[in-house]
Amino acid sequence: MDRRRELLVRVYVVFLLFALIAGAIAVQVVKINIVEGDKWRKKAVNNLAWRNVEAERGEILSEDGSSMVTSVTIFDIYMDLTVTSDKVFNREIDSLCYYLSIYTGAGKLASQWKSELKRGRKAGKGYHSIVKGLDYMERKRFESFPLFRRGQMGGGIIVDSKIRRVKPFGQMASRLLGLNRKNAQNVGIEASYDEYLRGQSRRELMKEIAHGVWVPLHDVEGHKAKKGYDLVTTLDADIQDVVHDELLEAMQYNDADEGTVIVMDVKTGAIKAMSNFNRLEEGQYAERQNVAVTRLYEPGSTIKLATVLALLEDGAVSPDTKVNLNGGKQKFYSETMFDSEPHGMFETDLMTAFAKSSNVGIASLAENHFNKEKEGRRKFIRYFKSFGIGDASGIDLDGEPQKFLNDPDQHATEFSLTSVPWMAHGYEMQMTPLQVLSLYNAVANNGRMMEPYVVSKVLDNGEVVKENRPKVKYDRIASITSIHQAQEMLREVVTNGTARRLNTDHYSICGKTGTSKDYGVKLDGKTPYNASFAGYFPAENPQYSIIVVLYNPRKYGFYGGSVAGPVFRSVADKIFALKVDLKSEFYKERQTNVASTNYTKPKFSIGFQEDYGNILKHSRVPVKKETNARWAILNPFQDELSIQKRKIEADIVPDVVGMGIRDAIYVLENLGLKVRFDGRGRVISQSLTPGTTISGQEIVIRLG
Amino acid sequence: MSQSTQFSKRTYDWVTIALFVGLVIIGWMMLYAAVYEKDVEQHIFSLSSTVGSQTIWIIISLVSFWLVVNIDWKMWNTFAYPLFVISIAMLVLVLLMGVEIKGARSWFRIGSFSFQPAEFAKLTTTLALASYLSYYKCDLSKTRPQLIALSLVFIPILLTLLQPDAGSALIFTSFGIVLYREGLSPIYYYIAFALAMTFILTLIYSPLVMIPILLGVVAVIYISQLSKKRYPILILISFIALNFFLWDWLTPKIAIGLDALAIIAASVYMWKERMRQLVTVLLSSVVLLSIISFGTNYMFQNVLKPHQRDRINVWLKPQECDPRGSLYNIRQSKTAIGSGGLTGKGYLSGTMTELNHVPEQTTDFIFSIIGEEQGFIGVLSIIFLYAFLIYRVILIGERARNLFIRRYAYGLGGILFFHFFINIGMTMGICPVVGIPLPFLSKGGTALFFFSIMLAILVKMDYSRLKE
Repeated sequence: MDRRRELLVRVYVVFLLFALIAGAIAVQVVKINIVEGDKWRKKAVNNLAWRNVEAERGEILSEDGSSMVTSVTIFDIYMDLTVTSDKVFNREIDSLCYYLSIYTGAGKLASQWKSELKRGRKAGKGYHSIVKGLDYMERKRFESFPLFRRGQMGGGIIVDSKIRRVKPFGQMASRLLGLNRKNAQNVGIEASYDEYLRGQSRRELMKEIAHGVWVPLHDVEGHKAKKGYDLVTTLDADIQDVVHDELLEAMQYNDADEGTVIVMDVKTGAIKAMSNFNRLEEGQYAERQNVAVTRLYEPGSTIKLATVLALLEDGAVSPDTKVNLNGGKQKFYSETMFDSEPHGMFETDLMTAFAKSSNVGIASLAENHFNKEKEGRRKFIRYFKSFGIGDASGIDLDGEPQKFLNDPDQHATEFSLTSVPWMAHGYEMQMTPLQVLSLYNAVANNGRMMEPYVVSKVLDNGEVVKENRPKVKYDRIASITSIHQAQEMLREVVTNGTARRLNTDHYSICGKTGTSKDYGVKLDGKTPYNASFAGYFPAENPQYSIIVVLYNPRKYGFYGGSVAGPVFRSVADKIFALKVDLKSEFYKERQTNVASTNYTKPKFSIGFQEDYGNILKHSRVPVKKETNARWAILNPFQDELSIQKRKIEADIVPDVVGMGIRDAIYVLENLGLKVRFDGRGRVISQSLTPGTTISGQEIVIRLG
Repeated sequence: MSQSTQFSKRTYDWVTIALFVGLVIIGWMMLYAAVYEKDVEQHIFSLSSTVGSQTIWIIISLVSFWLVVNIDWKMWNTFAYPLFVISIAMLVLVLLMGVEIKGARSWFRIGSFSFQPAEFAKLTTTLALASYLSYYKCDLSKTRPQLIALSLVFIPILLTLLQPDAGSALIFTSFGIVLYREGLSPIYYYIAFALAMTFILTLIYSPLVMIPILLGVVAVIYISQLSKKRYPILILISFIALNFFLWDWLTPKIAIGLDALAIIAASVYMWKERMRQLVTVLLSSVVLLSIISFGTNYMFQNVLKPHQRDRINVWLKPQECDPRGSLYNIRQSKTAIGSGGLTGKGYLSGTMTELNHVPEQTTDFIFSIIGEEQGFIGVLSIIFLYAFLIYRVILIGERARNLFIRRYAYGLGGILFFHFFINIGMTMGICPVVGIPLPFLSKGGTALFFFSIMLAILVKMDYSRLKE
């Protein structure tokens, strides 16, 4: 019986043991979770959160691959002063501070750094700003410093990265390229192609090291979000450069409010350049609004092209059709119409009326042919619509506004008897400059209207993901006869009409001036004018179509021919000079001896041998070619030029002084150097002495 | 008629089965949470993924559970010794042929299949011990049966220590519970307790501190039998104890000399006063434990490898450990548990877990996920589930009419309890970090499989009890 009792006691002891230990665990849970709960929560979790990490954004490239918008990652370095043990901290702090005093550029002595960090450590600072705005190489250097090389956990280094969007060409086409902003609406290509550019963002666990400063808990390099795709645009950096300068100059000269120039490739509809300027204050201009794509205006005389095309298509007229200009003034029903530019002509033919941009002449023909009955008016509108007027241009950018074209069926109340004559010279309709250009481009392209586009390819690490092929909008907007007649008339405008001053012997321009009144607006009690010129060149084989619009030029007149026309001419001249294929065609026809008259001898320069050969051959400058090597020195001697061998050796820093920036970067980067550059023009100095052995250094070259 | 009534009472212990299935499901969900990463697809049936292979093991275990429940439990008694011998053979073989993972030869590997014989040995030792203790000649008050029973336990302990797998070795000591329940003398437990305390206190403090503590204990025992004659002894003992605290001041040589004199004086006095037995026991235990204490210290400093030292230091002297080094696991685990708050951060929302900030979170530290994602309530619920399961196991043992069943139940209960206590204890820093899984919850196929079978055997035994 006693043994039985003893065994029962043992059962209780076992149960008691179980209960005690389970109780001990429960107590420990209470201790950790409730008593010390705050401490543990503070330790790691309160300042953690899942956050979206944007991927590196894709680049926007020009047609030839030079970067127009790119992302630069910059790094900020902080230090968690609490993580290191005393032993390690005290051992390495001096050498760290020594490096910090040299490399942060903060101008603090090592001793200052030391006392600052020690103070922070004493105060238990979990983050302490060390340096901001480092590039990748600099960041790597900081990570190799004592203490820092022990990593985030061991040495307390915290690296925060920011991505900055950079436009290497500055303001050039900046509105078209657009903005990618955090807290505001994106615009331009950045917005329209955002889904491609932005890449795949990634949710990452981040730690808040200071109010609003979040750093990833893992190394920023650890999880790379999928980089965004690169965009290849149709933009030609050279043409864009020209357009930018010319438009800006004209804007300043004419003191205009807004202005735009668009250059389009005739065959494809590809946008080669697009500049927009808005006037900020006196004399100051910036790319603010995409005037080319979004600014609606009543185009005025440039639309006479559509009217003439409609008349031609309907068989109502030929270029020789007689028309009475009535001295530039005529009453249509209740309204009186005036010609913008005085000419004093009466009886003439359509060709001349068009060339002189006579509102009265064109309006009378439209009035007589289309405005006699309702069906005629409808037909007139149908023609306009078939030319793409009143329709979106279809460009691959967001934000094309609603267009307006008066129409007896849709806008019965607004459509009056005077509508046809006024529409005939570009009123009662709202268009964008791009849309007007589309029409001119179609005429240049023998009637085929292309849809304008600005992005040609989407690249994923060089692989084509998406390609925008040229797209035909209307295969033929008018019969080829009508188109040819219209082309002749556009040529006539430049040879004998309102755009005479644009004429040049070197190549042939076709186009039409436009001077329209902005009836809806009143500025300083006056109705502002818009001066425009739309056209294309060369007439024989059109390559580029261009439109220039300046809104409210207030200094030297407002005529399309005198305000917008010169811009067109300058742009066209420079494009012509830039494009070898255009020129060669021209020079084929006229075998004049260009080089024999007088020329400035080229300066000493270094570059790509083949380029020199081509240029000198083209200009027929006698040259002594001494090498076939890729890189050559162009050396002007007393009486002759010679191309000499230029040696680029592997692993030795070459002398790039005298080279153009593209050649210099090409050579240096191929040798494994990191190139940074400064300035414009040719290389005037380089940071590494020629002959130094290359081992992945950074070289800074200065241009001037 | 009465027989049919009795027959209808025969039923499985559904409570135990429900607890088992519930824990397995919770385990699967927690494992999923441990490996879960946002936006990463989990292949829950793919063998190559963590969750996938566990899913397969769970299916195997559930099927095995069902199969075992359909086998006559007596078979386990019959084959207890052969199975034990096979498992011991396996433990020997694994030392020779096992693959080395993290410094221990604990696993057989055949292709992608791996197997841990120690888990199997837990089952067979439970069976063999239960079988032996139910043997009619076994009387634990006699020396021979004591030795046989203890060797059944110490053979697997030694073999697992050789791997070395301290965790499994520790688990085998849980058979002390069943041995105690079946009448092993408490003196063994006193000795074990004294040894354990000597180890622990030596490591926390030092042998030199240990000796005054021992003398203090001796003094307390002595006072409990106090009579006037003993005052001089008490004074001498106090003098020796004090001497250790004045060690530095007196310089060691003088202190040791004084101590020796005092001890000799005390011994002579006691001998003269005819307290021979007490003197023998007390003096020899002081000397023995002091030697053990110094030996422990020597072992600790010179025999143990640094990482083993670290583990013990983390347990006993956390304040002296590097929070980013050896203390890291525990700290992270505590942070996870502590940061869960009352209700936790929600399933799959644990930041520490997601970060993989808690090492070994799928296996040894799975408890910390519950702490983080389910919070205080979740943790207490899990502790309750385990306590309830162990209670059911012991209850089944106590209500069994067959002694084999009772002993088996106590063996199993002890194993489950040790697993539960050491695993959860180590995630919270009250037990040393040894690689022990949380039964049914941690990742690890072999452990889950054998735990399922052990529980199934018990459920089947309980089912059969009313028949007898």
